[in-house]
Amino acid sequence: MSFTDFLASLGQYLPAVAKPTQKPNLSQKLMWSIIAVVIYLVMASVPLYGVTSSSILGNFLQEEVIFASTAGTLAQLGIGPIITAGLIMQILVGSKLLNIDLNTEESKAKFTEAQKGLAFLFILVESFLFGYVLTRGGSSAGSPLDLGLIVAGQLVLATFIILLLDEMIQKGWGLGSGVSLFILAGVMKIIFWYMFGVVTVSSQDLPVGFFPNLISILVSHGNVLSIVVNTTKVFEPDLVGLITTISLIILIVYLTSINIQIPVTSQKLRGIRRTIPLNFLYVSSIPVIFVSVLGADIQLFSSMASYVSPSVSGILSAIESAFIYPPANIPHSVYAVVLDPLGAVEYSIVFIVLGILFGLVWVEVAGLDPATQAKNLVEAGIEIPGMRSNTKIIEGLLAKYIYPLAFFSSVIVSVIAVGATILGVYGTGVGILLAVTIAMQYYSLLAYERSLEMYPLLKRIVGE
Amino acid sequence: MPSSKKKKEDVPLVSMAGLIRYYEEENEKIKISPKAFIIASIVLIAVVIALSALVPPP
Repeated sequence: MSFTDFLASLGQYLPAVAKPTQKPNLSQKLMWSIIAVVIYLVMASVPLYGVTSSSILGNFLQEEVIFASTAGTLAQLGIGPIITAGLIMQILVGSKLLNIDLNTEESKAKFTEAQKGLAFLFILVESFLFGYVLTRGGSSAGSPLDLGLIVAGQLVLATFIILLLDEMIQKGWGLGSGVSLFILAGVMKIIFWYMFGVVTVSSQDLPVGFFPNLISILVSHGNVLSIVVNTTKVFEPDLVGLITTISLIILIVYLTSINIQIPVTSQKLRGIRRTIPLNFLYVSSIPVIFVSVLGADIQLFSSMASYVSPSVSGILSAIESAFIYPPANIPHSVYAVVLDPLGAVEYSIVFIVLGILFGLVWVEVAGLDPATQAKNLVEAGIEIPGMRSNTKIIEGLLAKYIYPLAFFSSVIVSVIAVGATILGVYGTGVGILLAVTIAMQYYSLLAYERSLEMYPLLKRIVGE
Repeated sequence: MPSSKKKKEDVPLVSMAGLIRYYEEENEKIKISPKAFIIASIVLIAVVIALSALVPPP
């Protein structure tokens, strides 16, 4: 039995949410999605039993954004194990290191089951490491093993619930995916707090928000210039960050609305000419997600390894520094560039180069490559005017658009994420990019679902 | 010409966060209804809150 077979078998024997026998309507989907988000947010505010505030292992902001995690709570691991397992499986399959042919129903099911099995293994490993790390000091020194097991047990159950919440939404009970919803909710929470938070939450690096801070300075006749650029505190939202946040949201909305139109005709529509759009941001925010997951995983295992093996932690810390900007002890604002210019350059290069690599790999993994797209077009009876309906010919034409689009969109999203982080955007550059793209995809999804409900004939046309 | 059902099955289910999952076939051995699962989640949260409030950690 290969390791993939073992993971797939493990995935099969883990409890799963049943698929709906009848497709829920839009309001039911919204209800299940809201329930999932509420449960997630409640778990992200319930402290783990047996963990004191002094022993909380602070997550990095980037880690909290990409893993939708909250330090010291039931959502300590967040969606980290799910997204890490998915990333590993997709990279292995995309690079052909794992020989799974995703063209058959059987292998598709095996791939999904193996992802779930691997995610569960990550849940076990991370939970027990956290259980050990979070309880090894303090007043519980007399029985750290027992308490460590209790903490690990809570983390295993809570993180598995998060996995099932995501599965429930993906299987058709809700809208879109749980992972996206949880990331969106986490980023929105951080942005809201950076704008309007009235107290500091030190365990989650949440400062007093910009507007309460501004009011406080105006009332006390303080120096208003001090909040234009934060030069003193590690976490303090400033005006440059606010302006960057708003500008970036507008820029991302604009970029996601740009399409490259390819003229086609359709046999189904009696040869009527129309166009099919290729998104300018062809790989969406995927490269940024992958680089951030890699960085966050290195940070996570580095911080845990510091309690277990200092030598391993030393190696991971050296790698980790290239993924973290600004460093933990300097202001998270544009002023960080003045204090650590070399760090900014190193972070930018590593992020952008990896972003391009992941973007190009993603095109192959997700079936966005010219060959797959050409095959889909031919099977759907779509032709390109002036060209024979031949997969190879259409593939050649699409390759002229798709590879440059994949390259440049990877560069653009990586530069946006890096630039925004350097300018001290609220919720990190990666967070804003993810939140806006996810929100826009949800907007499209809602419009699609609503159209299907309003015009039942459409359901038959799209095969629902 | 492929049927709409066939065409739909060819499209991988890509979540917005970049994870690819396929849920056309269900081979899982243990299936639970979402209602039972939500209740189990609420019970876990309640137990952790009750433990924290009533039983001090050792």
